[in-house]
Amino acid sequence: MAELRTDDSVRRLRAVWLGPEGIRLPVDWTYVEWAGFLALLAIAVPFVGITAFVLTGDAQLAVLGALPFGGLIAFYAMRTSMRLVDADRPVRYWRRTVAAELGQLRWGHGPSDHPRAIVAVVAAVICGRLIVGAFPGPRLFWFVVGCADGVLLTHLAFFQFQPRARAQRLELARAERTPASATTVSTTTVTVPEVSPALRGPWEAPR
Amino acid sequence: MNVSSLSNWLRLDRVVAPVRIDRPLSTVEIAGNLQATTTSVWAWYLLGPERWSFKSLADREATLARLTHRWSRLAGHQIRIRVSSHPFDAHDWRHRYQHATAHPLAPVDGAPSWGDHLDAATARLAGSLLDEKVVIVGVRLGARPRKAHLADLVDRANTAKDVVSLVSARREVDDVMAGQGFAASALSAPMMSWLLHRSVALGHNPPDQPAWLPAGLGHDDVISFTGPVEWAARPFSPTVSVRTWRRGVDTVRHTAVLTMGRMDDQRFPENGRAPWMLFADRFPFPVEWSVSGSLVPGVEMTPVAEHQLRRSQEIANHHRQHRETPAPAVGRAIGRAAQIYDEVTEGDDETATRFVGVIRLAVTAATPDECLARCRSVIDAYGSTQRMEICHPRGQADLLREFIPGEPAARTGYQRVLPVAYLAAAMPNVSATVGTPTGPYIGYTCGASRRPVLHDWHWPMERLDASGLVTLTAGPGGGKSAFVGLSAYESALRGDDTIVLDPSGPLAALCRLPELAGHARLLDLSGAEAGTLNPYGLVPDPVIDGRHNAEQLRDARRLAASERKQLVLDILRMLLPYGVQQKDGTDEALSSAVRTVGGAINANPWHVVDAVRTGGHNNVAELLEDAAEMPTGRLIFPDHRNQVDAELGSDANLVVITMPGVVLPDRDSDPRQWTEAERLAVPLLHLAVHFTSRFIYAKARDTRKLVCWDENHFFRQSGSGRALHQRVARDSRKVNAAVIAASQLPDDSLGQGTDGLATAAFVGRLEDEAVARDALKLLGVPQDAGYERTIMGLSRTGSGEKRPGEFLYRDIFGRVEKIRIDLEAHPRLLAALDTTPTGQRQPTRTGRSDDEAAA
Repeated sequence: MAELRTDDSVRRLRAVWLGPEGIRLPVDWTYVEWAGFLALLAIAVPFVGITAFVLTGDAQLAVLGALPFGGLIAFYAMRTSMRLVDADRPVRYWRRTVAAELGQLRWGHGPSDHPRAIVAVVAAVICGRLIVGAFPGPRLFWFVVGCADGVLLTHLAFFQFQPRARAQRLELARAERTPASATTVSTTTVTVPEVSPALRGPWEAPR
Repeated sequence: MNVSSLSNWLRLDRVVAPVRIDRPLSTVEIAGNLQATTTSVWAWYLLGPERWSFKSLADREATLARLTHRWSRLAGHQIRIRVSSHPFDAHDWRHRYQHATAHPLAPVDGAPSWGDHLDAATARLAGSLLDEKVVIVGVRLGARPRKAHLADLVDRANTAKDVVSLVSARREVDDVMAGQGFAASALSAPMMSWLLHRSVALGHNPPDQPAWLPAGLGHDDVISFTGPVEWAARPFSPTVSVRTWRRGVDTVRHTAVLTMGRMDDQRFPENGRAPWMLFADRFPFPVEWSVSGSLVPGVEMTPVAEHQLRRSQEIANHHRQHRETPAPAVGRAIGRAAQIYDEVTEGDDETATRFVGVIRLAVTAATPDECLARCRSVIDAYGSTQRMEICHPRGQADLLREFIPGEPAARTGYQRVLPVAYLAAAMPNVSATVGTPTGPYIGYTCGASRRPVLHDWHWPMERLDASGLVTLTAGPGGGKSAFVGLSAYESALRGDDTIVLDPSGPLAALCRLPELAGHARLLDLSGAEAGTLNPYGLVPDPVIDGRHNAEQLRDARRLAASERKQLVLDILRMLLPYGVQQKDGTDEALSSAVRTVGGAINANPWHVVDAVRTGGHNNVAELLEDAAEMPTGRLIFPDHRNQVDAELGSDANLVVITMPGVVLPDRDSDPRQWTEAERLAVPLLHLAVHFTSRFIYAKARDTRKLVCWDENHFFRQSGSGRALHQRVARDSRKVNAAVIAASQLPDDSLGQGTDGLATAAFVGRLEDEAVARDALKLLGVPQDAGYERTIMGLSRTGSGEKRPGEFLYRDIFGRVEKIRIDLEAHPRLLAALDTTPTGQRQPTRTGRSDDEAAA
């Protein structure tokens, strides 16, 4: 019988871009790493520039510092994130996984509670606008502060004062703590000393 | 305020609290083995079992080629493979076994009854991790027809184009799945329901599926699968808690889904590894599999292969542009890409077809920690033994959803692209099941997986018209006697007639068990009462059962009397020294005396001696009297000269014949050189054999009988023993007598000339490699394939610790598996049959018996 081989070795081959012909770049990055770096650079540079400008009010400093510091941040962010990316876990896999997992965050008391998330965003914007009008100084800074206040207030409103969500959380927490032999019948919890052989799965018997 | 308390005050932990995951099933309709989802129609099949253990390399290669061909025939279809298991239904086994036992022994006060015995075995079966594997394959037939129901596919009444196309596809897939290798059958409605229940709540026992379950389920019925089940998980949690409310019981299990990563290149099956999916059966906990993907034909793979080849070449060129040597992996990848391109463009279907999809495993436990510990053991075992990378990704809820038939599978992340032969090498449908479908529980398989082993000794005769001879071979301490004892005990307790010939004597303990004592008879040929083997009593009178008329009864009685006279004549001749036997007139004297006494059942051998003396042959009479004074002669001659009352042992269910210390002469030795003890042992064994023969043949033909020859080689030394063995082996089907021929060497069985009649064989641990090689013949396993070492390694762990009771078992269908005899349910029996020396001095001074001391 011939050797059994998967097609993995070909798919796993790193497609490295060394630079345009005649110019050897100092790093051996794959095309995906280059793409990730450029994408992060596009986010990090404006972020650093705006932050520097908001904090210092010095536009020249913000422009000069944005590229090197933004590039540094993008570089490390790319190196860190690309450790998780390979042939088995491409970027789209992470995008799908993270989206699925974040979809389970309790923005309210259920995964499909999108209206509450919308309320949080609207509340943040309203708060931002109010605070910008109330305080002098950099308008962007106060807007960001106002948005953060809005998110915080919405969060507290949802999670500190939600009896229904609290009840469900307690129920789930209790379910996690309940051992397999403890059974709940209607609303009464009773502990059964031994599960009937007819009901017991093979996993419940010591081998 | 520190970070922790701030986090608590903000209730940030609540943001990531376990969330109930509600996702409706994609299934909208089920009809028979057909399942309609929102987009597709699937057909589901139950794969038939495939043998793998103890096959030759050529047979294994043929099996792999067969499976590869079968998978390649499904090219162009999306497939799902679900491997699951359900616990062995011990209560159903009990019901069937009890139903098959018409007349168990009557219960005895203070002793376990037949019902107690069944209860103990049932509890053992229900409490052990013994399960039955289920391998189910789903094949996507096509898109779901918009204006038709599944019933239209079943009835074939609808002539719409898409329905006709599906019907045609279904017929084609049915043919492929029913072919050799898969031997699949369409999934029944209860099994379909079971699969959905099981998949929705992994790790939980699905509810019983009644036989009356309708074959069709509508959209509203599908809710019943998810209604009593709740999934919950924290974001990025490594496990999902699955909670069910069934039969009023609330149970929570935690499930983790693993996925297959890199898989090693391997030469299979030459490398000796287990098939990669079968390997999971070795874990001491159930592992569920879900394989989702497509079987892509070579034509469709060609652009992909071409792209991969160009990509590899471009990478190499790019390095050359920069005057750099590409990494060795680039060269290897180009070679492999060229090979793949060649396979998919020029190869046949088996070579070109690729599986593209994901391979998942699910592990379940009562707590998250235990679940993760099991995950670690799976990852470690697969990495070290199978050289396959098992990963534990996030997004568990989505992964778990893939285990449900009809639910979508991920199309990105951990996608495996395999030649179809690699998929065939998984062999999930390899079965370790051996034994008969019904019968007593004797143990469990302990090789690739744990399955209960049932063995009904009379199944071959009653169901297959086959011989009932079973050989049992094991070296000293291999658990041979305990197994014979268990079989005899079970048979006797069921009310079957059972006879055990045990030269060394430990099985005599069976007769002392209180539940059997009233129905058992022990014949100890070295220490029984005088006259125990009175030849006249060994031949019972024919039974008056209404089936014979008076004339037939008279003839039968006459025949019995003749048989008695013949037996007495033979025995008395054997008691005489060889020289006297050969002397003229001896035979006439004995014949005349026997004729004078007659053949009544209550006659006494002393009457013959007296008749010999009366006939004037005093020296012959004196020699017989001398022989009667010997310990062995006493068994033949009663201690009185009156008529003997009853026949011997005709009413006992269980008869155990032991002869410790009896020495038989070598079969090739000169009778003139026999010692006195050897000479007197011959008639004893002759009588024992005759008694056995009567025990088998005098009973009704249909009556179940079990004959256990422990230490078979002992009986092989005598002509009468050999003759009876061969006769019973050949007649076992006709007289419904199962025969267990146990011995320490395979030659003892093979040499009888009856090996071809043996329908099953048990081989325990043997020390010598040459002997083990001979034993492989009994099992029908190829020699010189390394299986000799398997026999030599039985019943002993790597650390040298003994685990008696391990056997290789070839069943009536030729399947061979490693099993372990299980006596855990019957500790009293185990203690009674234990022959292991303890090294303790018996307390003889107090006068207590061995049994009292043991108690």
